[in-house]
Amino acid sequence: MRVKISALAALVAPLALAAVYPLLPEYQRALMSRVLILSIYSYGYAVCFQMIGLMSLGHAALFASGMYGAGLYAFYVSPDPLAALLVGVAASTLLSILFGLVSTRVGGSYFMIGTLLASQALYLAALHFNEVTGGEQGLVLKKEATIVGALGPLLSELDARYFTSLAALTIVIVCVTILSHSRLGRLFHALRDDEGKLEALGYNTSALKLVAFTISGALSGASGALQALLYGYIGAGYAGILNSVEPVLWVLVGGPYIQVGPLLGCLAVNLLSDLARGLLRGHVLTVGAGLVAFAFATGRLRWAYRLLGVSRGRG
Amino acid sequence: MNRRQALSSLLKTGVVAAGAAGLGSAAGYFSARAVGGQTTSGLETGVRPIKIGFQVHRTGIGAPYGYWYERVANAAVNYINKTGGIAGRLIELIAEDDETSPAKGAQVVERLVLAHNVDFILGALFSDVVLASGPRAGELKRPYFAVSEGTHVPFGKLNRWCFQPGITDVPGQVTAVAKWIFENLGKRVAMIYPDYAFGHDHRDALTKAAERYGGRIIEKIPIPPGETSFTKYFTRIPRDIDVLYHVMVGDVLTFIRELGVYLGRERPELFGFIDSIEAVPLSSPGLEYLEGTYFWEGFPRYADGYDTLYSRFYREAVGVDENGADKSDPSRVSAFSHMFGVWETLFVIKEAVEQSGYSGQTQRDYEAFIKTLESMDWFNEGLWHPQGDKFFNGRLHQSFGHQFISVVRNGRLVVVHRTEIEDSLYEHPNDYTRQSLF
Amino acid sequence: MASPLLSLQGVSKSFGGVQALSDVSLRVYDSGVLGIIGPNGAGKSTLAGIIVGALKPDRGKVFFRGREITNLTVRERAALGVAHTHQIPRVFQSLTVYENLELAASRRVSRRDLDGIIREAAEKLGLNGLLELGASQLSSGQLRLLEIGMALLSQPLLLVMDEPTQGLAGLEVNYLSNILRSLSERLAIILIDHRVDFVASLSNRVAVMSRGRVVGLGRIGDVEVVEKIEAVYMRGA
Repeated sequence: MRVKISALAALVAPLALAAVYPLLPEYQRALMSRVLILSIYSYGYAVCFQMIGLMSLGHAALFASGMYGAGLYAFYVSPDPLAALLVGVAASTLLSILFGLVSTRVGGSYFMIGTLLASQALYLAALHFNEVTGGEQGLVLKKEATIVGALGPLLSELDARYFTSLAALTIVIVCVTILSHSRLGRLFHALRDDEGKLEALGYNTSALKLVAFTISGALSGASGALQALLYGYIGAGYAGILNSVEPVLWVLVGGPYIQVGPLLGCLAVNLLSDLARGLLRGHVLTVGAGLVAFAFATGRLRWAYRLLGVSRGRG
Repeated sequence: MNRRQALSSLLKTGVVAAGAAGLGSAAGYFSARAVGGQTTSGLETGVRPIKIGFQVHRTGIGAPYGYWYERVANAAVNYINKTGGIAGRLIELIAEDDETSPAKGAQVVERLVLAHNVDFILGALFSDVVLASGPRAGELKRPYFAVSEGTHVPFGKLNRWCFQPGITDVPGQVTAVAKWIFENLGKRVAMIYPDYAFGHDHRDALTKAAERYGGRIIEKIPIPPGETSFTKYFTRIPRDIDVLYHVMVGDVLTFIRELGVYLGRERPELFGFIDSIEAVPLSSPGLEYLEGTYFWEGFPRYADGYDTLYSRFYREAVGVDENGADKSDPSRVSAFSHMFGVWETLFVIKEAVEQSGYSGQTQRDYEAFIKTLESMDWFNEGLWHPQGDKFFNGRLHQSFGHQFISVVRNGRLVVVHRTEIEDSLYEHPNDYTRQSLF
Repeated sequence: MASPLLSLQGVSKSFGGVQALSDVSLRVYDSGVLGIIGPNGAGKSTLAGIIVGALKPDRGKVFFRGREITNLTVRERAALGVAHTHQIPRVFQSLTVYENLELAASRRVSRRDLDGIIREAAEKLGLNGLLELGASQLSSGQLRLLEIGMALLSQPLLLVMDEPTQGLAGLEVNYLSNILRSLSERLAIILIDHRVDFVASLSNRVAVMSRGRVVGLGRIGDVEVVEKIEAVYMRGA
């Protein structure tokens, strides 16, 4: 019952986003579409950060693996956006399992450094194999290989982007809500609270972490795949360190509630940084870091501090 | 094609007339400044300005270039607005930082079109930003002008709304200088280049040029991105080469110092692309080893390298001194080999608007604008094109121009050769004119 | 008597040159309480760590139900039936009391029986009114009971309790005594506590520890054991 109420409550945000669309000026529609896709990434990151208390500095690689999986499939194999989306999610799922097998065995700062190094390796690989990936310049997909192209007869480009990303985001929010109320979700919370204790109750915490990391990676990859298939561009820039840092800022700004936090944080950082463009030279990082500093100074970050402090494990 | 033929085709397109008008108004520009900032206006008042959106690398890795690109754009707009604007209308330049990021770059295009409703977009330098932005511009139906040297525009990776008329591309540059290298420095060449797309463009173009001019690429040494020390790669440089060709492999000061230590006095000829020392003073410690080595320059940094009335005027307008540095801060060296592309691109927009009769953002006006631009063959040397005349290929949307080869002598760059336009031409099957516009 | 549930054979452990345990041998049978007493630094907690698997001995072996478990992890020992509680109770703060108990029970109990078993255990421990409360809202006495409840619901054969009376008031200690007494009929408990009276009142046997050694072992009434206790605490003071 509680699950159903929460899931319904989680739908309020997507409904509000759908309702507000006709009121938005054109540029804000385009901007919101980008932010909605990134929100999926934000939820993906939060599954790792909020649910099991692990701070990754390498999620850009998982985002990028979804982007490359989808984009390279659409570019070289077949201009079929739906198949490409599945390939993208599959690629990021596989990569997160590989990453996770190594990095979830260690905790705290080793995990951060491990994920950072692993994602740098992927970034350099994307540059090195540039004959295939397009390297730092990237590749431009043909329009018929994109979702916007496929929806072309039905919807304008702006509408197609907004509603595709909103639909995907809605599915993600519902899934994350159900997950956080499921037995698996409770195990994740327990793991975050006290990994040693969970071990002592006979649970395989490494496997649990791997599952959470993989879900996190699959969602991040879905975001990357949608990005590729809605905008028709893939490039190594998305695998860079900046793209790993941004979701950290979003979830910190968004606060502890995983159903709405990742969305709110992503909206706040990106919309404010867009507004502040002229004033602050518009770095998402500047604005995000500013918001995080504000939250820290006003004591609103204790949840995250606690979450990461505990995650180092005691047993 | 020789100069006379070029001139005759210029006469046909009427660009010469436009160039002459430019010279005339240049005189007015200087005298106006002399009498205290009064402008030679003559602009229709109450007419909507032409809005040109400008995607600038204000922050991020491209910021040193972005600073100069923006300075040149402001200088050109200032000059155009003081000398009659575009078809009698003022330019309103709306600059937005793209953070040298492809994601932000595409977002800037959306913002410029959807929020600012610009008529045209002056685009970016970094290829990834251009590649991510071009599709957005095509979708939003706004002409997008890259000033990038990348192959994305000529090789057909973008769309009919994307142009690169203000600067030559890497294959054009390499093709032109390769001929001179093989003829003057020697046939046996080893090349050392960054192992990503920019370096690969150089590798591919030089390899092709070698086939054409009878040179031989003895060894290709790619350097992985992010490398901070290079000596271990130098062991792959063969002993019996005539020329070592190098381009942009990482931190240039380290690279040159280590190269100097490794090769010593008995070195082959060195030929580099200015990109690695663009905006870097030649007096920087570690660059002494470059004495006597050669560089490609897009537009000579030192004023005496290409001293024309037009280049002097341009240098004055953008506030750069005889040595290619900021007039008010001689330690701030400009991106002289690239930034002229911004200046020239703005004048290409002016030419195409005025010739096509573009007046507003209708399908018909954009169609006229683009087809007019595609039908242009030549941009004449003048105040509008101070780097030199250019051949414009309307199918590729790309300009081909003269290149400069300079030698480092007494710590400054001295031009030893200026290539012909014909030297830089290459074939490519791309044809944007076959794509539909709407 | 039957073969022991747990036996330690010549276990030694040192930390950076300090000998925490030297040559300790112990046996624990299927039910009843083995009390372990001794002053601070006697090696009690190290011994608990060796038994539950949090520490590995430098020398010696640990057997459980006849099988050597010296190199098994905490999780593997938990799966065999070794549970433990900590000096400071460790429960999952972001879950409710019910969810804490559920997590502990659900590896052993089928989904169908789960709810009944959780409510039954809560009833026994006096937690039944608190089931929907967040664990972070409990008092330290309630936390202690919850942790014991979780240990019990994992249906262990051996329960190792490290200082269970720490932070408890007098009445709560009595309450805990009653619970442990009834538990000890069904499973083996190793009770480590600094309150000699508390341990003595519950234990069938006590081991007296001093400076990493078991210096006395026997029934609480044995004269020899009492002497050892006195000696150890006098020296400790």
